[in-house]
This record gives sequence, C-alpha cells and structure tokens, in this order.
Amino acid sequence: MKDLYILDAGCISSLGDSMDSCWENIGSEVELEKNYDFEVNMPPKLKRSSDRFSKMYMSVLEKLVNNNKETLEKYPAERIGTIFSSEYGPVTTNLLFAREVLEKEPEICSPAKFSNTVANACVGIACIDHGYKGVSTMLQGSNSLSFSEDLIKEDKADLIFSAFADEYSEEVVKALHDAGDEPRNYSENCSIFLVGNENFKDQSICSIKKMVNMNLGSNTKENEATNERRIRKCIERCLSDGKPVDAVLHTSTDDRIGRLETRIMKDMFPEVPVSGKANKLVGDIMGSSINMNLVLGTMCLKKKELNDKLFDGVKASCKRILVTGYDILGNYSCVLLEA
Amino acid sequence: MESNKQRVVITGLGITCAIGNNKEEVLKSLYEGKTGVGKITLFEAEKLTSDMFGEVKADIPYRVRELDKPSRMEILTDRLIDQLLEDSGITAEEIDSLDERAIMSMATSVGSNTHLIEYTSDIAEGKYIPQRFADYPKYMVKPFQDKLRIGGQYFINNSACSAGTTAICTAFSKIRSGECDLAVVVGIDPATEFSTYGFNSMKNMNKGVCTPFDKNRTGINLGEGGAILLLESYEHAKERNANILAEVYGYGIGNDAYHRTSPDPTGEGAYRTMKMALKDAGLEPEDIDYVNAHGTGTEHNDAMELKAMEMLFEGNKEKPVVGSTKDLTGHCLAAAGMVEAAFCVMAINDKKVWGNNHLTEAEDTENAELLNKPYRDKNVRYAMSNSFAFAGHSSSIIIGQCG
Repeated sequence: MKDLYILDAGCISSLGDSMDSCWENIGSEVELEKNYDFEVNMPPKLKRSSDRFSKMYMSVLEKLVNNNKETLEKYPAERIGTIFSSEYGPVTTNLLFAREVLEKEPEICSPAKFSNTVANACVGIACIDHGYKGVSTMLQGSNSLSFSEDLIKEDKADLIFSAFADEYSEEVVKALHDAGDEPRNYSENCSIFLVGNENFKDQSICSIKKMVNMNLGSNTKENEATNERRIRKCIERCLSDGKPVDAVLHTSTDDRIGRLETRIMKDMFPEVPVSGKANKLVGDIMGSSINMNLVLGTMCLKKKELNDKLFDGVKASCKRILVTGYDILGNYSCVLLEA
Repeated sequence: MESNKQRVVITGLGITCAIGNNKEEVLKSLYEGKTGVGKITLFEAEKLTSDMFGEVKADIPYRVRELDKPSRMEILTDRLIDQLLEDSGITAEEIDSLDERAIMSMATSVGSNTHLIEYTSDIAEGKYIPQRFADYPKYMVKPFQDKLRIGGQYFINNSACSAGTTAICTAFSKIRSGECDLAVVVGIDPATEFSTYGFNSMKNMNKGVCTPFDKNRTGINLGEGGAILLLESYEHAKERNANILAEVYGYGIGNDAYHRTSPDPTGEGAYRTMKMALKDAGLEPEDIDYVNAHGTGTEHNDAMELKAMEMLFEGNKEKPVVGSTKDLTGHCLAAAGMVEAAFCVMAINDKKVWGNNHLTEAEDTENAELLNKPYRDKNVRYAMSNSFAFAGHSSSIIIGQCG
C-alpha cells in the first residue's frame, strides 16, 4: 500500500487553538475550560446560522487553510475534499430541535436547527466558505481518516481535510455520569488533518505508514477476552513490518477498555515510552480522543522529540509513533506515524 | 489505484419500505407501479402542510417508551438482518470467523434520534432515563455486534440524503483495496416527527403523491424503511459458492459548495460526481442503461439533476432510461440510496427498469428517456444510482451485471 501523508494539522481544545499552543500548554497549569472562547472569521450570513459545533470546525479549518494557502491554491477545488466525523454531532442543536418538535407546533420549528440534525451542516458551511468541491461526507464515529485514506489512494482527491469534532454538552456529560459511566473530565475538541498522497512527501510532517481498525464489540466483562485478543491483533498488524516504535500514545480512559488497553501496552511495550496522559491533560474528548493524540503524535514528529510532559519526563528523539484509540461505535484503531 | 484491486460483488439483499417488507413484495409492487405513499397513521399530521407519507406497512410500534424494548429503528434493523442472512446464505458464525475482515457500513440520518426524542419526552414528563441519551449512538451498532458478530471496522454515514449511496461506496473501497473480504451495508431511517417537522419547516412537502420530473411537480413525500446488502470480494463469494446478484463497479462523491440545503442549480456538482463514478468504473456514459435518479419531486433537485444528465449523456447513441422511484416509496432520507441501489440490483436481475409512474407531463429532455410507466423491459448491463443531499453532498454509484 502507498503511504498517506500528513501535510499539516490543526486543533482547538481546552489547551489552545493551534497545534503549537496545545503543545506548549500541555502539562502546564492551564485550567481545563469546557466552554472556552475561540475566534472564527466567517461571512456574517454563514456565521449567523452556524452553531458552536460548526464554528469549531470553521475556526480550525480557517487557520489550516491560511497556513497552507500556497499549496491549496495549486489544486482545483474539485480535487480538495472534506471528510468530517463526530460521535455526538451538533448535540446542543439537536436537543433544541427535539424540544421544538415536542411542542407539536410544526410552524415553530426552525429550519436552521433542522439542517444541523444531519450533523453535516458544518461540512456544507466549510465547502461554501472555502469553495471546496471535492469528495465530501460526514461520518459518525472517529474514522474519517480511514475513509480519507481510501479516497486518496483511489486518486479521487489530491488533498483532503480529514476532520473530527465533538462539542461539550453539559447534558450529555450528566447523562453519561448518571448512566453509570465512570467519572471523567469531559472536554471538547476539533482536530483537522490535511492529508495527501506521495506527491506531498517532501512537504509533509509525517506519513501514515499503516492504519488498522477492528471493532471490539460490547464493552462488557464477558467480552473482555475478545476485547483483549482484538486489541493485541490490531497492534500486531499495525506493526507487522517488525520495526520498533519510539513511542506509543494511547487514550487510557478510566473504563474497562481503557484499563485493559493500559495493561496490554505495558505488556507489549515494556521498553518504549508509552503515554496515556493526553486524556487527562486535555480532558476526555469522546470521539476526538484518538485524533487529539494523533495531533500530539504529529507534533512530536514535527519537533523530532517527545513532549516530556506527555511522557513522564522522557524527551527522546522520535521517528515512529504508534497512536491508538477507540470510539463509541466500538472501533479500535491503531495508526502508525513515521517522520 | 493499485492493479491488485479486488472485484466487489453483491451476494445478498434485504429490503423493507412503503411498498413491501421483503424482496418479493417490493418486486411485485414495482411491477404494479403501486405507490406506498398514503395518509400518515403513525403520528398526528393535522398541523403539517402534508399528511402524505411512505410508511412501512408492518406491525411495528412508532414509539417505544421502555428502554429495554427495541425501538422502531432496531426492529427494522433486526428484520433486515434476518432477510440478509436468508438471502445471502451466510451465517453469523462465518462472519465471526472473518474477524476484522468483515466490516459494517451504515447510513442513517435520524436513526439515533428516536432515542433523543424519547429522552426529551421523558424529561418533559418528569422522567429521566440517562442511558437513552448517553448511549444513543451505541444502539445502532449493537445488532451488528451481537447478532452478526462483525469484527472489523464500523462506519456510520450521516451525510443526509446521500448517506445510503456513500455507505456502499465506503464498503466498496474497503473490499476493493483488499482491507476486508466482506461488508454488511445497511441504510435505515424510520419515520420520525423529527425529520417530518424538519422538512415541513422547509416548505417542500407534497400534498399528494410526488411526481418527480413532472413539469408540475410540487415537492417531496417523506418515506421510511431501509435496505441491506452483502458486499463481498469476488474471490470470497466464489469460495463460498454464493449467489452473485450484481457487481459494484465504481463510485463518485463530491460537494456542490453552493448552499446548505439547495443544490447547485447548474447541475455541475452532480455532473462531476457522475463523471467520477464512470471514471472509477472504467466506463463511458454510453455504457449506462438505467439511472435510478435521486428525483425527489422538488423543483430544484429535479431541474438540477436533469441538467447534469443532459450534460453527461450528450452524444450517446442510445439514451439511458431514467426513473425515480420516490413516488412509490417516499424519500427514505439516508436510507434512500440503499433502497434505490436495491432497486438497481432488481433491475439488473429482472432485466427491467422502473420509475416515474406518476409522471404526466414530463420535463423536456434530449439525452435521457424519462420512463412514465411502472416498468419496461431492458437488459441493464450497468445501472447508476444517484443521491444528493443537504450540505451539498452528492454521491453516484455504478452497479452492473457480474462481468
């Protein structure tokens, strides 16, 4: 298989509104904010009808577009794609619309809120604002990078903005806690990768050497043996070239699968710096967890060294990093990044 | 694309929609041109601009208030899975043995919203069931984890009305690249007040049965239901002696970058997507015998789609037959692309084309034949199915006889 290349990445999280600011603030005393402010420059008409979920995407995308203007301008709009994903989508808007529907008065239902029910209004807004007409869709979960890989390798696009976002919702978090979920420090995030084919090798930060995905099935005690077998298989297949990795970034949530994964990591990588800290430092960001880790992994490769705040004081050089994570659909993903 | 790409075939089909609850019933309705669109019975429609809807005719409750009982979405899913197992001859054990080499690709717009509606209703009534809200994305994948034991990657496509077609595209790419051997592809959208009120607010509901591509068309009918397909690599299908129904050849997806809810009126976005599908399939416009159009019956969609097809098929010696089946089923939203791909498979197998049974005064076309009767005989070598959506998403897929 040909490699996929990451030209650039952008993110917004409680730690900052760019890769650099997140890198600088990680492990600092910055207090995790759930509803932080961020800037977004959009045409007023689009801005007026956009919710916070869409604005998160737009804010990150705008910076990424500006940083890569020269490259993007070389390619026709039809060859630049937008593949977005989210676990809960624009949940605040969906709740508002659901409550309008409960009134049983169709005339009070706002079309602006309805268009967000399909979770994809943000893609449309991004495409309208920037004029991108290439491959485009919206996925639920965290696997937009996996589909982007296929589209690039099938030559359906030269460049794709592969994006992930989940917005913070007090109501979701309360429901998660009340439903018996173990206490976590939930936050929100949007991460976007600009990916391309081998033509971008020289200007890329790193390549995605391999991506392996499996579904773990239900997160129950009875299913733990299957969970363990699949996690191990996924990692082994991702590292099937037999070459060592310099570090591992995993999500390490405080739940059954998170604890299982932590145990497997200690077992499989006894000599390698392994970090499951991002979730604690950035906040648990649901579907975006793996993607925030991918941002941090990409950043380590850009800086050519591990962030010691992430890796318990280890500040070694790095060229190959394994990033793992799982989403609400049960997908477990392993991504091998190589500078 | 590498030269070692796998061929992808369809070896199982299940369907439930307004015109039937299985392949045989649906086929009978297609031959008869019988519409399933009628007055809605599932919920109050008095205050809506239209009470016409393509309901699934089955004894399935509209709302299920108890958390431990399956929702309408989950019952529909379960029934489709049963149909697929029977039609494809595959077993859950065989799927389980494939581990990560079996994947799932789903399309839904409001499937998970059934739980959201119940959650908000509960709250309004002073009840609080947090699991309903906390876990709502999980309910959709559970049947595929528990009943089919699919161990590979799960995709859920939410790109509204193009999601069904795009769900097939995603699965097709994964098999073609050799990443997996098999994919269960499913599109389901149940009737909800959520989507009905939404479309109502956009003022595009038809008061009668919709008439796609008619000069006097006045809007859409919503529908519900879904379809399920088993996609396999040709080698895997041969190995297990599967009955091959059709082959998937290629697809295109894109974005109009024009408006949040309206398509680019020039048709250029749809044209690009169809061109991409042809290029991907290694085919020419002349190879397409049948187009199952998106054809919603709205002024803007149908005008745009016809313009795109006029561009695409210009110069063809033989015009492809173009049909929309939404006058029979209603618009099944994210499931529409799946239902219509199933109709394409049936067209290929039965050597018939379907669509536009309610057309009385057809729009003028030069390069496409708009069918205006339930069906006509035609040897369909390759069929194209189009889906267009809010946010400018577009998707076209080419399905044909197994070569």
